Amino acid sequence: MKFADFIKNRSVFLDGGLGTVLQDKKLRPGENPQLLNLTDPQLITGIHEMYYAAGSDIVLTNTFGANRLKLPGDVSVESIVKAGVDCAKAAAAEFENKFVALDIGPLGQLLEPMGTLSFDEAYEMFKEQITVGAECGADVIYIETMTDLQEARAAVLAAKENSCLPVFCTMSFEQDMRTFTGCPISAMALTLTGLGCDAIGINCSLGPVEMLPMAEELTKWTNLPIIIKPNAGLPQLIDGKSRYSITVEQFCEAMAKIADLGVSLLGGCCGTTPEYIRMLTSMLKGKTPALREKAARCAVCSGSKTVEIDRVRIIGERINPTGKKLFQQALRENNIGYIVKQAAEQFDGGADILDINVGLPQIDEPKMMKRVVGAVQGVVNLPLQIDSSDIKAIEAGLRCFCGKAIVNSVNGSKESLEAVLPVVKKYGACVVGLTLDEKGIPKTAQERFDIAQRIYDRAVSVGIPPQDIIIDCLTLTSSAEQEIAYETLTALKMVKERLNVKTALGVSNISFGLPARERLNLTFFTLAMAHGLDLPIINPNVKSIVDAVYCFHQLKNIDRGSENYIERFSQEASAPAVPAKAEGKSIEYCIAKGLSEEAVQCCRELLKTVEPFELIQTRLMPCLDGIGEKFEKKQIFLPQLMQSATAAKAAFAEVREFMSRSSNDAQTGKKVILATVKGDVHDIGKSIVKAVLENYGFDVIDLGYNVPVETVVEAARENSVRLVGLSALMTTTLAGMEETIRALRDNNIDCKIVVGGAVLNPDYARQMGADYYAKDAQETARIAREFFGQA
Amino acid sequence: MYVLQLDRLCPSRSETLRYLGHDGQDISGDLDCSISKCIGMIGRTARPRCVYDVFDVCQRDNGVLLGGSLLLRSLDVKRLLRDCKKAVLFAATLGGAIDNEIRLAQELDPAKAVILNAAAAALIEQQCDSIEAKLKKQLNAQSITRRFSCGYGDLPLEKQPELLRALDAQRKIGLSVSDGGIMLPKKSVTAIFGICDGADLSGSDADLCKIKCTQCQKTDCVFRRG
Repeated sequence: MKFADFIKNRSVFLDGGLGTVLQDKKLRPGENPQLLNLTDPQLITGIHEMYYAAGSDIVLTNTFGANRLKLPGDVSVESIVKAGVDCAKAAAAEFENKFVALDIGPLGQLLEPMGTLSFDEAYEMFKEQITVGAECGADVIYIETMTDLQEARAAVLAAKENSCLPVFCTMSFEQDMRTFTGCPISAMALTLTGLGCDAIGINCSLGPVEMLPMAEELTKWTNLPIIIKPNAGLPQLIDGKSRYSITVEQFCEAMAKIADLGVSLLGGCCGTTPEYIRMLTSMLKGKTPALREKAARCAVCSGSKTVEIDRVRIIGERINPTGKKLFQQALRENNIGYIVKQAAEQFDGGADILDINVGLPQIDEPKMMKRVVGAVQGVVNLPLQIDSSDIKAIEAGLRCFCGKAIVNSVNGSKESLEAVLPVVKKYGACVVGLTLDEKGIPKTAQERFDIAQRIYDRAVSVGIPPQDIIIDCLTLTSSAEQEIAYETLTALKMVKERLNVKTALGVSNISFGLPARERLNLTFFTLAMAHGLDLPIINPNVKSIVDAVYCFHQLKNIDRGSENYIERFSQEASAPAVPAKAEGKSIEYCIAKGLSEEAVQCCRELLKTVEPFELIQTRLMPCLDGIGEKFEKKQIFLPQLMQSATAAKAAFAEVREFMSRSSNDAQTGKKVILATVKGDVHDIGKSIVKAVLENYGFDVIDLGYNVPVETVVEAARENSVRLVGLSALMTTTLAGMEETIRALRDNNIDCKIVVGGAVLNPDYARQMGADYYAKDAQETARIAREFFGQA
Repeated sequence: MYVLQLDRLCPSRSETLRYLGHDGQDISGDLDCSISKCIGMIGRTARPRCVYDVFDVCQRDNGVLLGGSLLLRSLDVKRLLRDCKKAVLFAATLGGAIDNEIRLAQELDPAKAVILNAAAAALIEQQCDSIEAKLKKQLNAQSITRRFSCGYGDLPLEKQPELLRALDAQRKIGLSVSDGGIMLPKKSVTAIFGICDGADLSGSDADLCKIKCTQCQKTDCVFRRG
């Protein structure tokens, strides 16, 4: 019987622990058990046979750690995987209707952005295992014990793109219902279901009793067959030996409850033996799995956060270069730090989802999309909306985003529908459909609805679930097209009522060209919510807008008991926000005390009478020097230095803003690149240096952490940067620093290099070919000022 | 290897201040409040986890062999475990959520980021102290040596991946190590200590080889003690 047919509408039994049986046979600590496929294949085949005989329909090959990172250097992945599949197939041949699952475990390293292993590298390693396993005749690709959703994604994509076999994937959760990397069950289910897995589930870490509520949670988020493969309870130390806590009977009793939820693929993990499987199969064999209620929630997620669109959710609009000079400059300069800060601020303001748009002429948009999506994921855990008109950029963003994203957008034109929808389907994203087509934006609500209907039908026909379709009826500019601006809301209501899909709108376009924009935006936004808007694409750092969402939820009885409303506004009522007062305080005092708002007010006052350059030279610089000196003399310590730096930065931003109003270029021309080198993710020191350098008026191009060598070279060349600062924390990551320095020199980049980091010293720095060593941020600022000829 | 249940601890204020380089400077009310908040936040965000195993110690010419297969080429470790028949290897982490909080704070409020970072550094050391105490009790050890980690003395950081493998740390507590030798989550520790029942440790080599700041090669370290 074919595997795909076999698993339909029946309880299917997997095997129990392989390692458990092996460990009884004296595996030594740290030894790679996969090597036994070559050295003792009879042993492995024998264990598989025991499981088949006990009633397992599927056994997992002994290839859990058979990847390039975990195997010893002199053993090929191919040989181990082939031998592993052969062992299982030899065992299966003794029985009828028994199947072989190619077991794929984690690589053992953390992927970017938390770690340094790139998605593409991980993909290649999984591909290597999967290609061999499929060639050798495995029946299913079985990815298991994953704790990082991004790694699971890499494995699933490698399986889907390099074999025609069904793909199963299970992850391991702790008792807080999250994996070690913080992935909740909902995010796993949304993401892996979207990617087209054939069955998903939970294995290892806990026993069946602890897994029962997890299995229940999983049924709410997917309609796929569910796999549950628990340990034999929790490990306990008894008489100095590790034992699992529950008996075979208790295990099976708990598994029966799990089966009652409609879980159809059952087995065991660590601590379970053929005995467990024998009893499990005798209890449940022949039973048809219970029917499950259909799950159809509209939700998106990142690797650690699920956002259900069951109320108004704010999509932050600020990562978008349109009409923003500084943002455009940041994109051209590769200044990832600038973009990441926008993400953090929007998160802080109350965004639920972030829109990412990096489209700019002369920019390699797919490459930039990949870079920005990667960097933003490193700082905030919000789901993302990939926003581009370039299908390659959309695909680049979807591929590297860990979670279930939204694609912004498709429209009703044939060309757009054909290009965008298959990509949305492949990655399991939600999609925003714009109600326009080849002929432009229709004037009437009915015509816009018709396009929405067309998009909906087409999306469903390519297999996109209805709950993943979002319609945007398009906000027009009320000053230019006043007579039809309100039609948007009429169309919105029609779409909501007739198609019952989620809706989005870019709100602030309504007020373009008019005064008091914020007021018109707010009114339009409030009306839109009342007409059925779910996903406003707005600036979450405008307080009144976010306030309106809280008010709307209170009025709609979504915020039950007014809990969120009271939490947000109660403080305001009891203590009306007192605007910061700078009166009577000098700018020096405000900066020294870290009072950002007051420092900005002082600046504003001073700029009425003092030239900006004079203000910098006679007030801000001496003030900073004084603070630096206090730090060196230990009169203040690090947090105080950072508080002052933050206040000074706000003051400088004010001066620059003033200068940009009076001239086209507010740049000082003193550009400094900062990067934490390839292989290193410790960048807190770099962020301190950045804060201090910006205070002295340098234009810092912050390339981020774990920065590839060529990115540093490119950024230095393209922006004619003459000073490059590199940081690395550990002796083991200094290699990345040395390599970066060498590349800058080999490419004849005319720049000086300053390095810093805990294990560096002047000698090391010199040996590596750096021009300067800086022991801390103050020292870096001194070097930079000297270099640029500042007194 | 065994997972050890850990208690929720709150970072020590004085240790947090020490990691911040505090040296008697006045702390204003605002800063004081911010430090308290950061300490509380780290205490709440940490998901402390530990995995350990007990190994037989075999002395070798250039180091020790643990459990018959894990060879540590280090004269410092050899000296540390001179009187020990058994040694404990453990790995502990505070979990990745703390790393994420610190990174977010770097963008929004750099002062907060450095305080969070210091509080987390203090907390992982406290957890290690607590692990030592728990294991000493659990294993009925009369006395134990000081703990010793990769990167101390002549035990290179490059050994880290092997130690984590021996503990199956990635699977047991979600602790992995990158190609560049960085442990992730960042606030993590691996360490070894000897169980020296019966031996009188006072004044012995095991005591002497406690790695003190004075033996460290980084002489310009601001945290150097003694």
